[in-house]
Amino acid sequence: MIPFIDLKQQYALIQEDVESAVLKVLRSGQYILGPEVGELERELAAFAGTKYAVTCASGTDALMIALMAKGIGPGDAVFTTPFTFVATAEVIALLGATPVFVDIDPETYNIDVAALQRAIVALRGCGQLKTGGGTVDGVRARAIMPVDLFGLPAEYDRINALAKQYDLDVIEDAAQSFGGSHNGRMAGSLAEIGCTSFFPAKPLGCYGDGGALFTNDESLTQLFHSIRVHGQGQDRYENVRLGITGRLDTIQAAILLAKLRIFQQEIEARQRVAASYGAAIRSAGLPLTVPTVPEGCLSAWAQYSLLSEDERHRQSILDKLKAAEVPTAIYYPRPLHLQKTFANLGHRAGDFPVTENVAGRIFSVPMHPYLTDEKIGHIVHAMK
Amino acid sequence: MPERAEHLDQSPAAGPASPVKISNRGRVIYPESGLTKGEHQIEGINSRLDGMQAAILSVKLRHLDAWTQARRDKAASYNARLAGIVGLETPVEGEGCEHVYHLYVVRHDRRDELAAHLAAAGIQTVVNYPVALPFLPAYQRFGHVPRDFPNAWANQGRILSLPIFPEMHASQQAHVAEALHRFAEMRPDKSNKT
Repeated sequence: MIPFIDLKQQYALIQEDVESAVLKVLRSGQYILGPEVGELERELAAFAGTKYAVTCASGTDALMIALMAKGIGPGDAVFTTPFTFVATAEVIALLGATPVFVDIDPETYNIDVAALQRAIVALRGCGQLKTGGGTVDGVRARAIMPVDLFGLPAEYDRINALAKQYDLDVIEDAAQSFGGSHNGRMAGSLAEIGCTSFFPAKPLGCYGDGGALFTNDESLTQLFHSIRVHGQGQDRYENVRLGITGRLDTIQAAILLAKLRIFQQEIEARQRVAASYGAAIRSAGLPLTVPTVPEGCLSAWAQYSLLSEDERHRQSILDKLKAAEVPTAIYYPRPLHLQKTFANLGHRAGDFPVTENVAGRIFSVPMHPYLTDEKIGHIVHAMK
Repeated sequence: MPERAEHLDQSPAAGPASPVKISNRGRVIYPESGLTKGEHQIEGINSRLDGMQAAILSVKLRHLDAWTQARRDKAASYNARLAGIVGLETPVEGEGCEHVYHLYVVRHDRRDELAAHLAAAGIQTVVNYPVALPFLPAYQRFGHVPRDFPNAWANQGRILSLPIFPEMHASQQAHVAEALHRFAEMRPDKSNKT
């Protein structure tokens, strides 16, 4: 059995460092915001190339804190993709704002920038979100939340330019792309605010939930710090705004410090695994579309996702892989605009044809830095 | 917001309040509101407990009864040692209630002076919490005035949490008690003391 993500091989590599770091925290008594948290934040900022990094309790909290820092709430429209994990749109809705979905690019699966511009113009024109089966009144365009799906950064040059043109905030959902880059700039640093996740299966994962925010803006950093601890003001019990309990554990920070030391070499190993998959699939002559990485982009390869010809073809490949005991996953089988959670937006099947088409054809195969060419050969052979 | 509430009410887990419905609802909300991976019926939050923290808590839970008893013993010891100090009020346990003394909170009109005096004696104290919620800047928009919450207002400046933990030694408690007695004996203006 090949694990979908092998965290044990990595653990064997860093076991001594992690265990001694965790023990040190346990023995220190500094469980909340201990020195490891600040140390990790400095190292994360240096890695991402931003002035500041603020850790938090999860990738979802990172997105939530970013939106709260921007004061986004009822009546605000946030443009995002329907082809992502639910957290992206969920935080928008939890704050009472309206997620405005925009279809994806058929090659990168990231937000389609031309469609994004059309959606911004349409919404600004009437202050209304019109969907296949309804309208949401009284919403104003406020922000764009692009997602770097599967680890591949979205087109931030164009997105940031649009944001400037229409006076919108950009919050990068880099939950899957930390370690990737776009035109030499690291994921997490590609918009005014970047958010990432340290969920265990992420390229840089801890051993529980964790996340971080990145920015070059000092006043935003102060807001992140305040919101992370219940809207704290100058001292501990002065609460000047609404916030959340959004701290990262000191133990998780200590684990991440140990993992960060091998992260760059793991990102490189992931490039090798992706290239090896591509070569093996091509030489096997399989009718599958391998991931596209545009010029100037580096994917963090959180997932290696393949596009089959249609839903039946996908099922036949998934069956073959299952028979060969190769685990697979479908990210994401049901686009967000068709989830019951967002039924109030009145979307219908057909609203986002590219997303719906891809959701019916895509599947992901095992991806982690320690996948050998031999195992890749075995997986690809099983798909024949 | 009304949109969301309305939508929540339409969720299959909603209905007449009953324990079963609530527990179903809890499962729906946790985690990320998905019962089946990839399907999301309502919005939820990302709020799981780490496996590592669960392991730590499993060990600690075995000790909880003993720790609680130890805290209650320390509180009883403080009550006895601090009895009769003029101007100092010790915590009260309500009829039928068992306090676990997460905090041992005393009250004094000269709270800040008392805290400074204890700090000088090497005793750490905390104020939990210096500003009652209605008077926080975060809730200023509600425009509350002291008479809306007279007890909360009157006590927020008088409360002080003394050190308490299950392993606290009798000599440590004696030291705290002695410092409190000494403070009570001092003149309020303490000009000839420092």
